[in-house]
Order: sequence, then C-alpha cells, then structure tokens
Amino acid sequence: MSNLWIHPSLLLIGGALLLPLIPKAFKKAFLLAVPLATFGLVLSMLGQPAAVHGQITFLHWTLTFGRVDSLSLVFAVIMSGMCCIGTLYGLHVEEDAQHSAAWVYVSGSLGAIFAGDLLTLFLFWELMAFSSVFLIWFRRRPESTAAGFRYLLVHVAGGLSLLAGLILYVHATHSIEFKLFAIHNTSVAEYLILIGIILNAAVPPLHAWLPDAYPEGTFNGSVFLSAFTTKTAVYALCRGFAGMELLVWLGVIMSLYGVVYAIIENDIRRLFAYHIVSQVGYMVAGVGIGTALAINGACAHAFAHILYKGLLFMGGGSVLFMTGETRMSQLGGLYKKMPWTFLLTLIGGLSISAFPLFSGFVSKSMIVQAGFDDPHLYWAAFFLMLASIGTFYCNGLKVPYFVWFGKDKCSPAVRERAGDPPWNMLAAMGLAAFLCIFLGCYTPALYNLLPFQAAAHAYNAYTPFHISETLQVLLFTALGFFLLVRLQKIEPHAGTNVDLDWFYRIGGRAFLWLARKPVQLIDTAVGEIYRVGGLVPLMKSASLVGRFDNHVIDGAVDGLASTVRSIGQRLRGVQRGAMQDNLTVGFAIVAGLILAFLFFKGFSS
Amino acid sequence: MNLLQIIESLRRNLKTVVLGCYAVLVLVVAADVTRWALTAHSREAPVTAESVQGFWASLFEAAETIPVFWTVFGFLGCVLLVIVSKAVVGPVVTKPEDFYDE
Repeated sequence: MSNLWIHPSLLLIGGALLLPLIPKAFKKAFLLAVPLATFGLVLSMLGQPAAVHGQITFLHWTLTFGRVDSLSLVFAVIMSGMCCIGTLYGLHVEEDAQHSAAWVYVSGSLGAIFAGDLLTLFLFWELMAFSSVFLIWFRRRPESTAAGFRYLLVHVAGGLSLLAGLILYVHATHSIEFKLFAIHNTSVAEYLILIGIILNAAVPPLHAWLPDAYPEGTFNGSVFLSAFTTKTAVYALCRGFAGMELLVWLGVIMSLYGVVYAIIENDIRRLFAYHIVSQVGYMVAGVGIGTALAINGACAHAFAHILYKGLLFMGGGSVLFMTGETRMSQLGGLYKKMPWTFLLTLIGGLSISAFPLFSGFVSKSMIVQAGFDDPHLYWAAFFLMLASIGTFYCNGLKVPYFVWFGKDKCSPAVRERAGDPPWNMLAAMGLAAFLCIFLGCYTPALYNLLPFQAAAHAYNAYTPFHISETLQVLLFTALGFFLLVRLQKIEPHAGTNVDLDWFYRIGGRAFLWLARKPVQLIDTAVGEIYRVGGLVPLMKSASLVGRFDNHVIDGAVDGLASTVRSIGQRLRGVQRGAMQDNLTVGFAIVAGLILAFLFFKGFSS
Repeated sequence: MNLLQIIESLRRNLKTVVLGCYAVLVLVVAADVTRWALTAHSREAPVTAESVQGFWASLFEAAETIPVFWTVFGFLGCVLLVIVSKAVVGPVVTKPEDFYDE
C-alpha cells in the first residue's frame, strides 16, 4: 500500500476553486472529471485493510482526517457516486458557483465520514451547513432566501450543541477520538453530541428544517441536499450510538411522522422531503436496534436511499425545471408531455416502497427483520411495516398518479412548457434508475460493502415468505389507494401544512414586532428627549469647542483621525448588514475561541 | 413503439388492465395460501419470551401462522393511515397557502 493518501474532499475542494478558471470549452468535461476522479479515488480504497491516514498533531491533540474502514467506506462510496450523478443532472447549469457550492458540500460530508476525531468531525460538519445553504439561496426567490436563513440558523444551533458536547466530553475524558459513546450511562456531554447529530438526521422534534428548506432549493441543489446531510448523520449515529434504545423509539416515531405529513402534502418536493424523514427513521431505528443485521440494514438502506431519493428529487426537479410548478393541485395528466420522467420517477417510487427486484427491498427488510428477531421489538417492526404502506401510497401511487395521470389541472402556461427535460437530466435519472434495479436484483453488489460481512452473507432477502409478505402489503395498499381515488377522498388540495417550524417562524415574527413597536417607541422617545434637552445646548458648546479645535488641536490630531477613519471604514462592512459576511466572521471567531479554549485546557491539564 | 404509445394503448384498454390487476391480486393471495399450506407441517411453534406475551406477541404469531395476514394488514393499514392523516391531522395542521406570507 502506498504511503501517499489523498483525501477525496481535497479533490472536490480543489475542483471547486479551479472551476471558475476553466475555459468554457472544457467546462463540461471538467465538471464530469472531478466527481468521477473523487469516486475513483474512493473506489481505490476498497479491498484494502482498515487503516488510518492523514494524522496531524495539533497542540497536543492528534487530528485524524482519514479513518478508512468498512463503515466509512460504504458511506463514502455512495456519496462520491451520488456526486457524479448529481453533477451530471445539473450539467447544463451555467453558474460556476452552484457547482462549487455542491462540491464543497459533498467534501464536507466525505470529510465528516473519514474523520477519526470529534474536532475534525465538527469542522466538516459546519462546512456542510455553510456550503449547502447556497444550494437553497441560488434559487433566488424571496421564500428561498428566508428558508435558507432559517436552515442556517437551525444548523448553527445544532452545531453549537455538538460543539458544547464536544468540549464537555473532551474535558471529561481527555480524548477527542470519535468512537462508540457510553450508550447506557450516557453523560450530558454525550447527549449534547447526540442532539447535534440527530438534528442533522431530522429526528422530530428537530426535523422541521428539512421539509422547510429542501423544497425551496434549486431544481438540482435539492438533489444534493436530499443525499448528504441526513445520511452523514446516520453514519455518525452508526459510529457513535449503535445500540442506544432511545433511537428505536425516535426512529419509529419519525418513520410514521413523515408518512402522515406526506399523505396530506400537496407539493411533490415537500412530500419527498417528508419521506426523507420517514426513511431516515428506518435507519435511526436500525442503529438503535444495534445488532449486526440492523447496523448492516441501516448502512444498506442509507446506500439504497441516496440513490432512490436522489432519483425522486430528480423527477420532482424535472417537473419544476420544465413547468415551474410542483403543486399536485396545479398538475395532472403530464404523461403525454413527460413520459420518460414519469417512468424514471416511478422506478424511484417502487424502489423506496421496497418492491421486489428494486433496491429498497433488499435493504429496508434487514432493519425490519432485525426488529422481528427480538421479541421485545415486535412493536417497532410492526410500526415500520405500517410506515412502508404510507411510503408506497405516497411515492409509488399518489405522486405518479396525480402528477402524470388523474385530472389535468395544469394552467395553459404549465401545459405549454411541459416536456421531458434535457438529455443530461434524463441520463442522470436513467443512471440512478438502473442502479436502483441493479442493487435490487444483484444483492452481492451492496452486501459485499457492508460492515458486518458474516451477517450480510447469512441474510437472504428473497425468501418466499418475505416476497409474499411484501407483495401482499404493497398490492393491497394499491387496491386501497384506487378505491379512495374512486371515492374521490384523496384529491390533493392547495394548502400549507404547519409543522414545528411554526414556533420559530411565528416566534421570529413576534420578536420582530417587539423590535418594531415597543422598542422603537422607546427609541423615538429617547431621541426626542435627547434632541430637545441635549442636542441644542450641545451644538452651541460644540461651535465654541470647534473654534478652539480648529486652531490648536487640529495639527496634532490629524494623524490619529485618519487612522480612526480607516478603522471605521473597515467596520462599516460589518454594519452594512451583509449577513453572509457577518456569519463567516462570527463563525471564524467561534472557531478561534474553541481553539483557544482547547489550547489553554491543554496547558492546564 | 415508443413509451408514450405504450402508455396510451394501456389507457385505451383500461378495462383489460384493471381486470389484469385484479387477477394479480388473486394470484398473490393464492400464492400465499399455497406457501402457507406447503410450510404448515414444518412450522415450529414461535418462540416467545415469557415477558412479551401480550398484544405484540399475539400479532406476531398471527403474522407467522395465519395465511393472507399481510393482505389484511396492507389494505386496512392503507385505509387507516389515510383516515388518520386526512381526517384527524389534516384539519389541525392544514392552513391556507399564504399562511406564512406577511
């Protein structure tokens, strides 16, 4: 094995920085080459013994940038692979910054996955949040800007929880190694780290940022968003909290929570977003069950999920890109205009529903089986089966039916614009669809990557009982769906479904009102008193002082004044309200403070 | 024949397609009954710990021993989920589209 180990994130960050300098003629080739090279680099690590690379001594801590083992590799393979598909999907986007933001986001994910210590994990964790928000802002709608800020604020709060937990944990254990935490006598520090991680996994009640932000992203940005943040969190849970019983509860709750909201949702991309919550619920429950089969299931399901959820978001993105509309109450009958988009999205829908021969069938069933293996977890397994009914209902039936068939409720403009998307979008969807079917049909492709090889080889998804059980559940769900369509009980209606983001959306407004009304009233009153009582006498005395100043002090102070002015000009940049700049500065200050803290802790202990 | 023509020909013959779907449902149920009959002699009594006797254990036993259990589960589960979502949750959380607009 060579000593030289290149971090895959470096390729993506390097590519992101170089992208604006690439001549237009080579741009598309470059856009494809960088993710492919990253994917190739990750693939080259397969089949080698687990190893640790890229260790840097920082103060007296050892930072580990490259912990390569079977758990990190299964996630790295699918994430670098999805980066290729996502970039192909958005290949025709002219704006370099959109591609750069996506690549930096992916590099954050890969960095967090290969991180062997908590400090490196935190660094890349924040890189993900601060780069991914641009995928929302680039849609350039006022709603997207607002949703992006909410997304960022929630993630900064989660990051702070992670950071606080990290500091307490390091203080208590004198170790920054990222390994399995104490899942039974869990300390406050570990709970804070857990909160930071499950916020990124969108576990209720910390989930509302996801269905709020993802549908507001650009048509291709949301494809990236759907894949990386939540699944990096699933990886971190597998690494740090495997077997924690609390996670079974949370996972089951979120799998049903997402389903119920998806059933009443009208916007297709928001419906898909709620199904991320639901599907990640399976993975979280799998991590909570914690047996070899369950952890394999969580990893396999994350792997399959990234592909089929990417495919669904590509389908939804195509509808948005071609028609400008994503509400089912304003769509319908599009099969005539977008037949290929229909077929490919349907394949995504069948995969997420775990239809036999599609990818979800061979991954989701491991988690459910792990539940049925333990008599104390029968309840969890039954609830997960119930959630899978809602999954097929929404992704396999409701969206395909009400977007491509059903009653045509398109406006003339939408009908005029509709059509299958450009070749690169169809190619990316075709690739993802092929992989969904390939994984479902040829199980060793996925099972050979899983962390517990013995359990993976002992498991067989295609038993007569499992096939029969799945077909019964899914096909009779379909029967129920068409009966309800016939009875006209489930027509999608326009509406906003209020979720827990209500608290900070309306709470933020209450704060604004407080700032606008009472505080402004006081401010005006104080200003008035100052003007009458202070300003007029002040002006008089000032003119006296001014005369004195002009003649005596001027010369001495001139130099000082110019210094002050230059400082003032620099400060003005901060005052202007350039929120993004301020956040960057604030983030840098916080990072500096942590490092200073760790530095002094290092000396005192 | 391109994809659109395939879809349109299926739509023209909707009656046949629907009949075909019903046939598939019947086949699935028949297959499960056959599977059940073939494995009945080799089925052991499910192993259940003393502490988990109760609702979930009996449900598990039903799933293991009663044929077409999952047919009923799928159909009733679908109807139940839709009723809970549309009739209980929906009226509470669904607001007009401009709810958050200022």
